[in-house]
Amino acid sequence: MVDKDYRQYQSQLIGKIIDAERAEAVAFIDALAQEVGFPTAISRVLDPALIEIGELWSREKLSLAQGYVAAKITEDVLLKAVESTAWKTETAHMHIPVVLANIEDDFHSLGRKMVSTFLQLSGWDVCDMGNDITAEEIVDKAVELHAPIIGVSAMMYTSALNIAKVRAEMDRRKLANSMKLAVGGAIFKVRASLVREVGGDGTAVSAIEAPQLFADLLHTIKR
Amino acid sequence: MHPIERVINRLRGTPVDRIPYAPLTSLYGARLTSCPLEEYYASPEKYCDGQASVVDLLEPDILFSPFGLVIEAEAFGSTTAYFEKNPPNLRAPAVESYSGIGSLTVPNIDSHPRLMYLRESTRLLSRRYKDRIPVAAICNAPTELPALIMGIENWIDTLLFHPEEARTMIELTSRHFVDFANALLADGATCIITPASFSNPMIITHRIARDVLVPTLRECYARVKGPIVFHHGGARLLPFLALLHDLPNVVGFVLDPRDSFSDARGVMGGGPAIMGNLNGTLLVKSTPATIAGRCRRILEDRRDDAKFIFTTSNADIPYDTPVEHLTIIRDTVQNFGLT
Repeated sequence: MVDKDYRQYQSQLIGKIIDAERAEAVAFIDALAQEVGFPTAISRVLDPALIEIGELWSREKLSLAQGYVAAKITEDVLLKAVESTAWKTETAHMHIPVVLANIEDDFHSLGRKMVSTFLQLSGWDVCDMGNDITAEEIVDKAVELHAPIIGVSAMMYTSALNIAKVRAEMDRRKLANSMKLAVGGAIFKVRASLVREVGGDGTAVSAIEAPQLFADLLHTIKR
Repeated sequence: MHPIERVINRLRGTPVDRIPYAPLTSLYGARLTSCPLEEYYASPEKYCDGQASVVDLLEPDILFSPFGLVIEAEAFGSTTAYFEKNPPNLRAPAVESYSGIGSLTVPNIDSHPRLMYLRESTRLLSRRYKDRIPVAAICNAPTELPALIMGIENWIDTLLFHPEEARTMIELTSRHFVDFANALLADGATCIITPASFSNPMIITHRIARDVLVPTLRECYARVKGPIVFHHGGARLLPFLALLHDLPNVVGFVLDPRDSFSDARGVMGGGPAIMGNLNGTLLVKSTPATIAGRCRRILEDRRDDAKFIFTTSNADIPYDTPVEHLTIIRDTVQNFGLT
């Protein structure tokens, strides 16, 4: 199959995501995967479609619900893919652990779960700790798993300030050179300076763009 | 001119002595009275004392009933997390998925303790400031409350993929909303404020907003026996104002800090009042000089708008906001000449 065909598939998939046609989108990728295998269907169609969806979302051309649909489709496709032989034999997984959590006092899990889905699609081993997790618990888990990156989410300004405790805990344990802190959540979109205020090493404008952020942060770690 | 005359005149577009202003200081009253938040959000008397301190310090033109949206969801079975310095927030929803919607019932607005807290706070405030300061009672829109009963993710999921159950949930919250809003008005509230980001296509798809959520608002708002102010709820409102601007009984819209007043006026014409749009949640980290500058820009922008009311936008003003960051707003607005 030539590239032009894949671009047509990408466009069709984007249309289904925008129209919130979850079942149709999964069936569409599934049918393609029967022909070319899940690794190819994902890398040539789903991944590029998600990049475009992410761009539209970051420019506020799409709603949170459409981002959610993209995450659910990704989740459904991943479930099917991991059962396939081709996925097990052909896909190069990074096996790099990352730790995700909503910071202490924050209970808004939607963004974190979406980030988890897109990171898994990109081959990261995600440890999702859930809501209302203290800085100490997060850093303990990252140290235990040898995770080079921690992703911490908060929706509200006041709870986002608690993320600074994660930075303080990382600094206290002298982890700044070996571990990076990715931050995210609605408040970071309206107040970009907050990333620096809480000691974050970076943020992404949408969940779909989190894998690129994590890859970039990984490259900054001194080994 | 009393605040109530000032606000009513503005809603009618008739002359005022100065632009009315309303910082969202529901939470801040607790700081001014050093009241622990769990007590503040349980005792109508403590809440009212906090708001009395707000009146003494800031002389606002509108007072607010407790801005604790999740308190209303507690009446449906959700549980709440209380904090030292933040407003209450959802800890666990009443139901975890669309399959639990059938088990929900509408709470009794005349006996449920958490609803009675909201009603009694409204009643006490209204009694204390009767004929002087309008009291705006904050109430979840019927399209928003489900997000606090089942969580944002599950509500989005239900709206997208389980339309029958979404309809059942909306019927439930619609019944509650109409009764509760009318009870708050009967308790003395001057108007109802409904933060409503879920009817906004920034959050949900345009099709669901247009076909499901906005018609729900239209039907429910028409049955409310008093004026309603539509609050942007944290999402940008302007791109979708055309969908919402003619909702029944809506006398004003609180815009997002990123929304343009003049563009909003262009969409709405001279009808409802426009309110906003100083970002209240960011005041804590600003400086008095910066805040004064922002206030003046907003006031200058709306100098000739006879239906403009200066308010903060977004959520409650944070607990740790220095007092002088708020008194500078009071001074700037009160000293801004209209001539």
